[in-house]
Amino acid sequence: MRIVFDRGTLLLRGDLAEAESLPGVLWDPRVQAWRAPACHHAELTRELARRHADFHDEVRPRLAGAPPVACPELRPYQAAAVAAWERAGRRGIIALPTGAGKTRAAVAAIARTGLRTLCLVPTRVLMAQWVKTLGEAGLGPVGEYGDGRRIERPITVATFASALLRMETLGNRFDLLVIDEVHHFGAGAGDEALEMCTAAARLGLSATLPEDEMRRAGLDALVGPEVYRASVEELAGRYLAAFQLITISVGLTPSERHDYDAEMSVFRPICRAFFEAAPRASWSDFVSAAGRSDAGRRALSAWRRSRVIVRYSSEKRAAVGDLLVRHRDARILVFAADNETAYSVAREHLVQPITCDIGPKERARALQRFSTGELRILVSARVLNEGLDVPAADIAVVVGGSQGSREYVQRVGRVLRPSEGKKAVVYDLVTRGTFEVPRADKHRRALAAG
Amino acid sequence: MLPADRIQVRMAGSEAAPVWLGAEDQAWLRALIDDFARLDGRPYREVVTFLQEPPRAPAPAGKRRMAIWTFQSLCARAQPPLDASSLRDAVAVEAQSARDAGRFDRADVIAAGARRLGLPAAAAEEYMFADLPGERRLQVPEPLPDPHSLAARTNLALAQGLLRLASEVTINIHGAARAVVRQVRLRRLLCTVRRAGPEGVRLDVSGPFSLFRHTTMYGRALASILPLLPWCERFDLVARCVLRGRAVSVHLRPGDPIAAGEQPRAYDSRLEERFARDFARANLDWDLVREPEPVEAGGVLVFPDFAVVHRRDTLKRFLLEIVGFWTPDYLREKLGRLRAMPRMPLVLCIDRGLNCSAGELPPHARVVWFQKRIEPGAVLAAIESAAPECATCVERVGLADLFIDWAGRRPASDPVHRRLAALKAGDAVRFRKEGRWLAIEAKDGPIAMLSRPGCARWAAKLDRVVSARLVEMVERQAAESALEWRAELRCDRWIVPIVDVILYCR
Repeated sequence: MRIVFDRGTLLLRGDLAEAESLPGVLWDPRVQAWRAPACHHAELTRELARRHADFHDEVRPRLAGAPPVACPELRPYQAAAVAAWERAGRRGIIALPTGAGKTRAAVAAIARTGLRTLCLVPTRVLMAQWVKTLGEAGLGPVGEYGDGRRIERPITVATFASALLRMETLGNRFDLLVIDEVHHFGAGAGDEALEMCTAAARLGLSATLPEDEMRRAGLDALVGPEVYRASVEELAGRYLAAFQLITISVGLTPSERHDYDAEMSVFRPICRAFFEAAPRASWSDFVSAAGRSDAGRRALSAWRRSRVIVRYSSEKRAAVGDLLVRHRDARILVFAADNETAYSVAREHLVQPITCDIGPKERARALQRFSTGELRILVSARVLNEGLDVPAADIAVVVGGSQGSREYVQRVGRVLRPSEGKKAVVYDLVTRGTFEVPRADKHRRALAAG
Repeated sequence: MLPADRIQVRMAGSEAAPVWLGAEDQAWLRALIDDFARLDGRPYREVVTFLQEPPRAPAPAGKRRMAIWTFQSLCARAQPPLDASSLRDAVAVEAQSARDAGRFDRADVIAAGARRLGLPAAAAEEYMFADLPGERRLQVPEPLPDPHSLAARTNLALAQGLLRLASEVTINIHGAARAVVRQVRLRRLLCTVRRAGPEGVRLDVSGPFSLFRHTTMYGRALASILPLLPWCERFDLVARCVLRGRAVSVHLRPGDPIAAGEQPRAYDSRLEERFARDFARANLDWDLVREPEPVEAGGVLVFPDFAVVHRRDTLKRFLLEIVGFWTPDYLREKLGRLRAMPRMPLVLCIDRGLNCSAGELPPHARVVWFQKRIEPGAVLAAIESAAPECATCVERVGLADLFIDWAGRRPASDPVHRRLAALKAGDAVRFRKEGRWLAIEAKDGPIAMLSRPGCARWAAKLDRVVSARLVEMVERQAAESALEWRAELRCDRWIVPIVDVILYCR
């Protein structure tokens, strides 16, 4: 019996007794052979060996391994995290706060195992950052899949989107899978990128794992269990900068308040009526239902306009101006609710925006200037939320947005990269008498929970 | 193809019917096109804001959202006249220097940044963000689409958007199936081809991973099939999708307003095209037939590349396959299919570089090796040296072969009588094995059953059948049946079909 890799799956050809009891194996009538997802490769071959089955494993081509490098020096918690991952059979997730050095832990894992490694990252910007870090650690030259590049090397970095497209051909060429921001997986969509890879060793990295049990179970099966966790609270002060959270309560001008109330008076009755009729429905259920009637569509339009009023109100404008002046000497990150607001801040205060619309060259140039101090203010909507290695910033100004508590915690994490005597400050601008108040409470609770 | 959140369907049980745009939508489509024309040259963020507002002309919201997406996909965004990225960088650096010096004045900073690039301050203010998607200006297509063509494009985008969400599709095709099969193989999908009636084929298309769970990773490849289907004589397609969290079937039928894409290429490769041209120039006695009837091989249908048919004696007929592609998987699969084909006269043209061993090739095939170009002379030599093998003959399935009372034992209301009444001489029919018995069926079902001796005679010949056609319809009356069987009859008169079968001679 032969096992071959076929476009992200394993084909088992030849005589095979009791194949249906093998892990992940199903009969494929389309090709008259047994088939299993590639991620079951190690488990499957172990089981076949246990049954003393006669088989030829032709899945893995002969390829060069990772270049040998010394393990980088690790902080105690990083070393503990990597050791826990190794003890768990080289499968599992390390959860560390932003700025605590997750990439370094991954470099250590690659160095210690010496395995051919594919690193998956959510964005092109992060891909460039990982390529740089791995190269600096002596693991270069590093292959890249994404942003128009298709270069395979013993250590390769791919964006999630490229990995999904290319795993049909790359899936049997790596032994270790490192997944940055692993919380993006486990919900079904896009999980194929992990299921179509034969790599037995898997390391997931995240600052904030999902609380949803279904997703956790999905991650467990695809990557492994959470093997190590450290919270902001545990690391703040020693390995992360100590920080202070200041909520600045702002109001609306009379005309803004008038407009806001007018919009909400269109939106609220429709919204209330819907949730009274369907108390267990979700927001997306409401949006879907509202889109089917004129009154519902008017309510959604009013809701959108109310967000526009609040997202960068006159008092928020003034507060941002004050903060930029007050912290003239500090490095400041301004987080806006959306790209439009980020551009408004950028236009008004002539600061550099970093958004998904800004090209990689401009972004790299801006971050370089930020690290040298040539620029000391950046404004972003979502790009800086996750993973991006922002040079030491001291102040975060949250003007609005953050779709959920995880995003908020990640935004705060942007200013926690430690340095001598640093005390970071996070300003949260919250508009009185609007939806922003309960949301800010929720975010604060999430931050306290780490 | 439309993104999932724009797709409009009507759900009924486990079926989802696409909400097509039609003649009733022309008025509001016209108003929408006029709105876009008015927005031409405006920054994109203004366009987006305008389109989020309720429309001027009443329009079904879901359909309008689909049409807006389609129109936007036809539009472009104008490039700014200068390098806005460098301008932003210069201004941000100037602003930081001014802050450091405690003399930040917005107008002065912009002027200084503009000076760095040799621009007037007003231009710097105007174009500082002009390269960003929301700031770039809308360029509507020239000429503007009319409501009819916008509806057609939207409908195609809707159908493709639905297939984008599919994990597997089943397509019944009549005529020109080969282009579809070719596209399926090009996109590295798995495809099982079976016969569906005498002239149709059924394709079951999916990806390797579809076996385990619903996945949309093959959706783009599946959607690429769609523009080819209108080129078939007739098709219907069932796609298994997950829509709004529910597993549903989407049925695309003949008559659905799906616009045809580009006409499929006549040949799979330039090698084939050049061979066809050279062959046509080279000889007078043989015709090269593109897309001959598919052949059953190991339970699935194989589409031979060509048939070579003698011009004066059409019973002399070869199948011709070109093996010029070289990946090991492809070669293994192709040779496997060819080995499973019945023992029909077959010429295989194989690239010398492929290193095929004789053991891998179908034993009955004549092999022509080629390098870069297939010589028609070499193919003709192979054909003519095998001429006795390629002869075909005609044999008749007559009354002696048939279970004559078979239709008579069915009441007059049985569909078999309707099917028989609709037949005419020349119609294609086929054999179908049902356990120990052999049936003859037309496109919509069985029309006759062979007798026990008929089955014994024809079962051994099935792998040599090229085609079968109806030649005569014999009317039979109850009074003509033997007395002992008359009690079994359920109608007074019925039709018995007589069929001529073309076979390869051995």
